[in-house]
Amino acid sequence: MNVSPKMYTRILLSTDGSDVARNGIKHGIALAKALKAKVTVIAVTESLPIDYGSGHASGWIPSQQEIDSFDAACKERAGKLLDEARAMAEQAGLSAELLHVPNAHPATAIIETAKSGGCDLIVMGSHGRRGLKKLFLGSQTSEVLADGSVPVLVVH
Amino acid sequence: MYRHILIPTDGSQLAERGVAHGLALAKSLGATVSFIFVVEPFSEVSGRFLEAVATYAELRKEQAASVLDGAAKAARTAGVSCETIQAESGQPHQAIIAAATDKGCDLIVMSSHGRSGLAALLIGSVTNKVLTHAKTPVLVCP
Repeated sequence: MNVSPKMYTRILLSTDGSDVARNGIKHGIALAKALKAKVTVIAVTESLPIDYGSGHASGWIPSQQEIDSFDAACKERAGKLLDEARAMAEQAGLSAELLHVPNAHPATAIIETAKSGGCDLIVMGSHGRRGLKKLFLGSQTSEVLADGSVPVLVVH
Repeated sequence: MYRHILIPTDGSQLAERGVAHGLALAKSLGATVSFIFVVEPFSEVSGRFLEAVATYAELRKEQAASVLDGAAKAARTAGVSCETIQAESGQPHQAIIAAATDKGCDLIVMSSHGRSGLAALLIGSVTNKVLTHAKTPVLVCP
């Protein structure tokens, strides 16, 4: 059996602002420190839902102004989450790379960032902001796990 | 960081990747490992195949012992201190979680799939149940 001596070099931590995700960040930072790995923190915000209706007058298509204010709010929220993660990393003596991916599907953006950024471990909370806590894994976590290209550390 | 890592294996090729991954992590952190192999009892309804079932159970236990032995050898080679656990349970995830609690493990490392399951589609059922029910962090490697 081949036990490789080099462990993770860059760890990707994802956050959506939930308590479980915060646990994951704390956990991931401690692991990165122990392994002398670099850290990237990612916050993904989803796009504004557009309801084209179904041939009736029920649809809602946002105006450019509405889209702009939604984007600004996402940027602000992600900025807050990433600032918090930066502070946690600094406390551990690490400098984290911070990344906000707007208007994206979280699991897809997390996987793509891990691949393009050369991350060899993803740390995620078992649940995000939604979902039946006790019963299932969160949907984004499940999707990242199912992709199966990068090891995933799931923190509860 | 982690001091005691639990690594379940069912002897499959994928599970062996989990063993290698968990060992490498344990080595770089100076952690201890426990390997666990859970043998599922084969339930027999009619009694017609009692002999076959008994043979199967024996073979599976032998396999468990040899897989655990191999894992322990790999740990020794890597310079990681380890122990092995052979358990019997119809619910492998429960045996795995119970072992983690019992041994005070602070991480479970396992592969995304084991022996059974639609390999390409989702993660394996045992891994999924461990992820859902375990209180400790779980590292899933592809």
